[in-house]
Amino acid sequence: MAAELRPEPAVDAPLRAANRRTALAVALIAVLFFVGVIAAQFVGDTAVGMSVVAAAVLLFLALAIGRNLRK
Amino acid sequence: MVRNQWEHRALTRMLAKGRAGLAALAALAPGMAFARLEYDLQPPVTPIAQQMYDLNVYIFWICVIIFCAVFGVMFYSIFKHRKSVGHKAVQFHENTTVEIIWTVIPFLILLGMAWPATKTILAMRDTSASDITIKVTGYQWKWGYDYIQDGFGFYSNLSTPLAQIENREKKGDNYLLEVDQPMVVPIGAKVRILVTAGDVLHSWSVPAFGVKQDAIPGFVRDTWFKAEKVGTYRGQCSELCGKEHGFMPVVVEVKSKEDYAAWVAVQKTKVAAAADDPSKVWTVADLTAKGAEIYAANCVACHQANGKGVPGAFPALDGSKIVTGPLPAQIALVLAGKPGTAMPAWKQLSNADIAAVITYTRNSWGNHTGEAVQPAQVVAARKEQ
Amino acid sequence: MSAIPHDHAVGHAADHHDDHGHHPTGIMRWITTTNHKDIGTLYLLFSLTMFFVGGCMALTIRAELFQPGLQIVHPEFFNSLTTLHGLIMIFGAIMPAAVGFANWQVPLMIGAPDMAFARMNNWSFWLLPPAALMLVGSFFVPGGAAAGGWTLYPPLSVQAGMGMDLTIFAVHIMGASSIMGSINIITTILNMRAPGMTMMKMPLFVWTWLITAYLLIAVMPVLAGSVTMLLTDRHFGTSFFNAAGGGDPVLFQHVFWFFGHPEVYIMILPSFGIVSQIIPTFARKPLFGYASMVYAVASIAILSFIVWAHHMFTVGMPAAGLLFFMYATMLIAVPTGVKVFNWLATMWKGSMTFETPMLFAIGFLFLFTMGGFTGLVLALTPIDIQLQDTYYVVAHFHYVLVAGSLFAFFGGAYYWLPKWTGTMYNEKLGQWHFWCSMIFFNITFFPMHFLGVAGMPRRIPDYAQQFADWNMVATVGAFGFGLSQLIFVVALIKCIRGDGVKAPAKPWEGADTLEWTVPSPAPYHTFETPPVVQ
Repeated sequence: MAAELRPEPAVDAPLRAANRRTALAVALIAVLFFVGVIAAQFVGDTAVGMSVVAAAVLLFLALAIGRNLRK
Repeated sequence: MVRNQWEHRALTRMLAKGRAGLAALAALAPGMAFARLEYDLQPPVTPIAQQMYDLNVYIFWICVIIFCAVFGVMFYSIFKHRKSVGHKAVQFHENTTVEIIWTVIPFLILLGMAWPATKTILAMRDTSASDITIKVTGYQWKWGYDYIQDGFGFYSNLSTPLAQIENREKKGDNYLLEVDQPMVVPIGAKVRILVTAGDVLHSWSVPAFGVKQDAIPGFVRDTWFKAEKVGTYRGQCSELCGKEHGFMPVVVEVKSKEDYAAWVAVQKTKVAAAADDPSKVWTVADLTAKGAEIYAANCVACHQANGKGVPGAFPALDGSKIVTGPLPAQIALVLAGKPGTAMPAWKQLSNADIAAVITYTRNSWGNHTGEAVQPAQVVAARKEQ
Repeated sequence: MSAIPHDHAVGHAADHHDDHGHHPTGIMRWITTTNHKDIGTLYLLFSLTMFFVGGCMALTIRAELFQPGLQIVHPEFFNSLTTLHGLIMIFGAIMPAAVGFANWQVPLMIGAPDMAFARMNNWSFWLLPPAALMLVGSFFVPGGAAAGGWTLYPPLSVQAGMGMDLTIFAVHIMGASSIMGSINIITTILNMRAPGMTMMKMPLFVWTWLITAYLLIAVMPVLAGSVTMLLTDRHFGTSFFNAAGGGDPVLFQHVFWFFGHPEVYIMILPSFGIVSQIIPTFARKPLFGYASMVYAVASIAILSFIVWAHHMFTVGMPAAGLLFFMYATMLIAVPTGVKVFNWLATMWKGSMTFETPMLFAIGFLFLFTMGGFTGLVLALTPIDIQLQDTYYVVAHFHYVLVAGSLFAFFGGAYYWLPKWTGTMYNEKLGQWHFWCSMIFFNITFFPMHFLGVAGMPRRIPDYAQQFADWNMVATVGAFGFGLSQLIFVVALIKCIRGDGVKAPAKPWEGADTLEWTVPSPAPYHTFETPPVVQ
């Protein structure tokens, strides 16, 4: 039964590795934004800091969606 | 031919319900005494408000036309392109030309809308060359108006009686839109309003003027209006500011230039008269009577008329250790408030007012300290803060 | 179960649970499940429950507003009701429902056996009930529930009692749940599509959820940042939002709405996806302009990040700021319009039937577009000055969120219930649910446009005399709308119980996505061997 529920290791391992990489990348981005919002309050002019975070968010989105549109 | 039974019933019901809905609304119409007021923006009395009104009409009609066109097409399709009338699906599913058309045309329509809006925005933000400047401060839960060029100011509290709010009396015509002292301005003058707040966010709004400006504690923002019609204009606080947010209206009286000048003169003499003599010694009875008024205008919202507060939210004053205990502590608390709670600072009240209201709390309900607090004591306490 | 590379034949429908065995039954099944279908069901049932909880709050609000004067609740409690109604509907009803649809449908539609991280999927769901308990429980702590509006603006929210802290914690927890869910969805969609299913062959529902998941990753951390700053201002002596300490209350508004505006698109994009599945099915022709639809959703998502300050037009921005945000906001109307036209073109010259899912999809099209028009009106700054913080705004967002999102969810529920439960829903009940909802929704919210234009502010428990008549109408409508939702509950229970016509694998003639190739109800495990897509 268990063997039925998961694909064989040969197919499984690269997929699981790919999944982990994707998840890690996405999670890191989320953490970065959280830390960025708070850090932006302490580093120099708030407006500048927040603009940097906002630009980073926009860039992430444009790249993430844009790359998928090409596939 | 067998029709789809669901469709048939659906269409029949739709018509029936539509008729029923209209009938219901029509039946309500005779009861709508104020119906005329309820469909439209308030009649504009400033040039900016007029522009806003006109823009709204213009956009409304553009939207109505597009709406009718688009949903005309949809309802046509619903009736004609149905399986039950035998229509067969035509298998097309893309057309670049049409996509371009219905991207570009809406864009052009938007440009047409943006142009008049842009002009109004630029006019709205131009507060230069004003004739009068008035500072507006939002408090929990009243407005303060300071005529900084003339050296007087006053508070503007809701004057609708609690009895009306609690349904014990019939409600007046200006229920919830009336104040003890409205702002007064002369007709035809460009009035610059400096807006700020004393505690939390509020927003000063007069729809007839086309003015709405958020009141931000610690910051001053400005806007302007030029009223072109004598009359009384009413608005409400437009940013949630706590429990009495719905009970701090804005009332502005526009007077003729002569009437305005007369009013200013009266205000100035009031200021002179009200400048309290800090060395005056008041009797307990006088203090308590005055204190009752101050309490009713400022404290009753949280601490309640019976002094019992709201358990869990606002402490009771009746039997309170602070109110019946050492005097300096209570004076300090009233002056500075209690940061981190809903108890604001009241240092903007006059020395006589603070002395009066503290005396009142110490001699009312179950509290019988017999103490009288004199304005001089408040003056001393201020120095210590 | 053999190595035959096709999915289980229709005949095995009833036996699948027993065939696979070895998973717990009863309560433990639901607590420990890592199966995307179970988790989808949990999310959907949770969201339905929260919908009724939030709905009761709404009815209490409308009861108080039935007539001028204070009759039923104290003003402070009224403010708590409006605050929690908003928070619960957004974070407890709409967002979890969307995730529930994603869980059920995304793996099925891309031919994947489950989500990429099945156990994290379980955690993502089970974070929600404690968060909901915190929100509802906050009514019972000293000082009562948070009462600063769902937007939590300081300094008012810094003044508030314990209820605000509970709300902040709940928001953190729900945010974590959303982020984990989004990681799961992105990974699943990017890495686990069946062979042959390129990105541009994915059903539009999958596209909309991919983009929604990206939006969630981008903005939930920002929300978390802003409420964390609120927490530290409240308890740890910081002054981010306190002018006396060098901060600025408006900073909160900027950060909050930087999250808040994309958030509203997070709430509507899955609904766009659902409607894009339903309309082609019942028109019996393919979705018009698939590529344009994908680009439109992508543009809406990106544009949604540069319009946030249209929620702040009265804050005192310089003219340049007002102009920029007005133009950017108006621009979003273009891709949104493209979508509306594409849906219409899908209907055009089709061969339509009007079962309940299609009724809700058409209702969505009609009423969401109306909400879109009022959004355009609000985008125009001079008009917004008059309408900001009035009932016009309340009308606008209820049209797009209730007649928009919620109606699409109902449509999707009726559409997929046969697949989920193996039983056709009762069409008569579905029709009654639709028409009652449609009519009472409009009776409730259409008059609010008038109230807003006439000047009635939001978030007030009592109002001036000239607003009385429309408020009375709106209250009657609200109770009607609330009661109408019970029809859905009846229809749902009948489906779950199997009380109805047995559903075939493909009950809808025009349906053509992968989920309709598996039996109804869908077997516990599907696509263990991926299908090959042409």
